Amino acid sequence: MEPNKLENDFRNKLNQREIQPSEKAWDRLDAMLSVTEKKKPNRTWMYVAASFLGFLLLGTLFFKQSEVEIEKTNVITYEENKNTQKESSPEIITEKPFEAKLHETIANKENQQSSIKNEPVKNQILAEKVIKQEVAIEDLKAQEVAQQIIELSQSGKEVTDQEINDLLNKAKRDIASQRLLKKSIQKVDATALLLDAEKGLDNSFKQRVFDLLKEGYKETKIFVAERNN
Amino acid sequence: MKVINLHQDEKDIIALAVENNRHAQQKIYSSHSPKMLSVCRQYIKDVHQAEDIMITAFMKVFTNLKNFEHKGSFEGWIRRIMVNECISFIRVQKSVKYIEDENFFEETHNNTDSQFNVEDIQFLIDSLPDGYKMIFNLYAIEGYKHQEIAKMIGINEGTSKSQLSHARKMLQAQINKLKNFENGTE
Repeated sequence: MEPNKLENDFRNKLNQREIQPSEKAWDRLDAMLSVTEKKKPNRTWMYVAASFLGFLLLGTLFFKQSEVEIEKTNVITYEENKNTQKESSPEIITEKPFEAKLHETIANKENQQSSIKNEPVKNQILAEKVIKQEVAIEDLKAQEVAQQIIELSQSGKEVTDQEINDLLNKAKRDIASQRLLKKSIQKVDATALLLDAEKGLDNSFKQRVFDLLKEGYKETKIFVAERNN
Repeated sequence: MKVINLHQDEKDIIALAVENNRHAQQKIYSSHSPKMLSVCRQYIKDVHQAEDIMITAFMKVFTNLKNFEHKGSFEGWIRRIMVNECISFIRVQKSVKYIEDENFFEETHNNTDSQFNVEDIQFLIDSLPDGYKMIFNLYAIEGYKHQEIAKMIGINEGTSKSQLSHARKMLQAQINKLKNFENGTE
């Protein structure tokens, strides 16, 4: 069964033979190699990208969590306050017969209406109080200023317009500062703001000072007249 | 010295090709592909199909290049991959049936020098059925032993021997036919 002479000849001739493959063959092999090559580095790149994204996500989550914790503590304290408030006035719900319930609801409605009616009245009273206070302060100042002017005029010196204006301005400033002080202590009230807008100081205050001066002048006039008589 | 240099060059090129250096891969391909296409052509009649199988085998060459241990010749290693690829292709594409007959007789071959050129030889081999052709190629051309062939194809050693005997008989008949035709006696 040894290969014979003919087969040796076959082998020699076949082993010497070369068949040139087509030019496309290398291109195809090249493409196949590129495909298998591309898979590997792509994967490593993907791993790198994925891990980077993971770290980014973890980082943002970490930072956000700390922020949320701070916010949470705030919210919790706030809610606790709320809760304590609620606890202080717990609602007791008990089952009542239908009629009683009906009465109750009607009564509640009436109460609500009355409370609604009461509210503007309350507001009015408050506003009036504020106005009264303001007027009292202004009157006090006006009297002071009038007194000062009278004193000046009585001291025998000539009272110039400039001096009167200075006194008025000073009084104005005092009133304004007092108001500001009050405001800073009190809560900002809508009615107070409205009053502030309505109450232009300029003319009314001046007018009042002059009125007081007039009165004072009249009084001195009467006094002088009576003395003369 | 030149031979050593050439060997060293081959080693360097292989090392580069292992690292997916396309230039080195192309160098290996262009220096071995004509011979390897010839090997594939022994087993597969259609040249285009043989080329397809050669490309697939070269892919295996490059993907397994890191496993080449420089023990045997590099060409022998590539050739083995080519032959294995051709065998698996034939086995998958065509269900080759091997007739189990142990009662084959050993012929005495006429040891006359053949005057065939390589095209005639290929023609004679192509005319053999796939099963005969495969074993004739493996035994007579590649030089494998029956034991190796049996392992490669997954058949008995006896089957390999009987297949070779049948292939030789058929081949002889073809040669006689051809000779008679050339001599104008038929």
